[in-house]
Amino acid sequence: MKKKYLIGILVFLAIGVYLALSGVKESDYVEVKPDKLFLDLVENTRYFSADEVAQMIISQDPSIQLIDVRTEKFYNKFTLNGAINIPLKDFLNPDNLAYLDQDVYNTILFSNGSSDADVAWQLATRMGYQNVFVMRGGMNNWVDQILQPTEHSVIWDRVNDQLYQYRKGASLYFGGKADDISSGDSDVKKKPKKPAVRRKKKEVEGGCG
Amino acid sequence: MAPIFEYNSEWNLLAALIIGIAFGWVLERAGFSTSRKLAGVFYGYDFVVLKVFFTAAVTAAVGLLVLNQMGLVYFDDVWMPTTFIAPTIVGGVIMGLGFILGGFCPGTSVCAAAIGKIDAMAFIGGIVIGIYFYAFSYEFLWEDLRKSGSIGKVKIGELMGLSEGVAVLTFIIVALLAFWMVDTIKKKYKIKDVKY
Repeated sequence: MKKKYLIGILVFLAIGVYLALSGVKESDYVEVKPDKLFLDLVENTRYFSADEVAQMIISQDPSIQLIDVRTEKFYNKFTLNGAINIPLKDFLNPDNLAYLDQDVYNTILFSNGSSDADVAWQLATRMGYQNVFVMRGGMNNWVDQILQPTEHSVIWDRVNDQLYQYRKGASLYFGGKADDISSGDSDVKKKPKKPAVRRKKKEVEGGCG
Repeated sequence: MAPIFEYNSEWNLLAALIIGIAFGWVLERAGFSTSRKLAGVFYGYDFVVLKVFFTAAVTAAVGLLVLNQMGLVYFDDVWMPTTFIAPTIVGGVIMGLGFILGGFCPGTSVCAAAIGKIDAMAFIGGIVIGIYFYAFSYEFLWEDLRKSGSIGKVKIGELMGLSEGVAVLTFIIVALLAFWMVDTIKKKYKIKDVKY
């Protein structure tokens, strides 16, 4: 056999052995497979309720970042404490994706209802970003449940009563106005509620003013 | 890495032209414009076709995996046709018959026609007639067959339960064994290289 054939055979065999021992490299570009995405979609594990979000904000949970995907107009009008504004149409902007490209925070998306936030969630999930969630019901639900909770509870229903009491407290925290059964004037027409601006606490002044 | 191929890019035709000319030139230099050399593999007096096609396949497979190891090509980005078992067998038999009768396969016939071989031009005429026959009889003759027996986009390694690397190594060994076998046959029956 000629020497050059032998060299060719050995080279091919050597490369073949090397390839057999090393695995196939997968692309860095991660995209969620359809079946996984489908499971996440139907299992509703992406949702936080407004109550849970309120709890996290009140307890100043350092692990969350809130992203408002509504337009800037809505954002300027009213938003959640500490929320960042990324309008849905700018969601794929690389600067904005930097907010998602981290594994420190749980990102919670919200819009007026759930659908815009759901769209943003799907985009983020398809691109492989982890720890992205949606506030169920969005700001509409937030106003209904947290800012203006209504009394559904009866005295022997401890769970609902506690939830109501909690929402009443949260409402006060966020500057909404809870129905107060003790005042008894529920017939009085309520003014449209505006989120009150929280005032800075005054410094304690001297006692003998 | 820069994309080699982009859909709807106006450079595609130019790339196709350059690659096509290079391919045809290499085919011609390898002697593939001679129908006697091509048909030799069926009659057992010339095994260059087998060697060339096996080498091409091995080179492509090794090249693909090496590029993958270098992080330049990912299998998700490589287009792969669906495998249809029954239509492939029927098509293969028809193609093989044409190959023995005419002495060319479609690509080599164009290559041979380009250097002025009249039999190759007749062969191309046959190809065109065949294409029209297939197209006009598709609905009532071929459609059911064409769509039957799909086993999806599979790789040979996957079917045998081997990883890509092991499959390629197996393929290299099979190719080398085939080369050794045909050389042994040639030696045993004292077949001499034919000059064309």
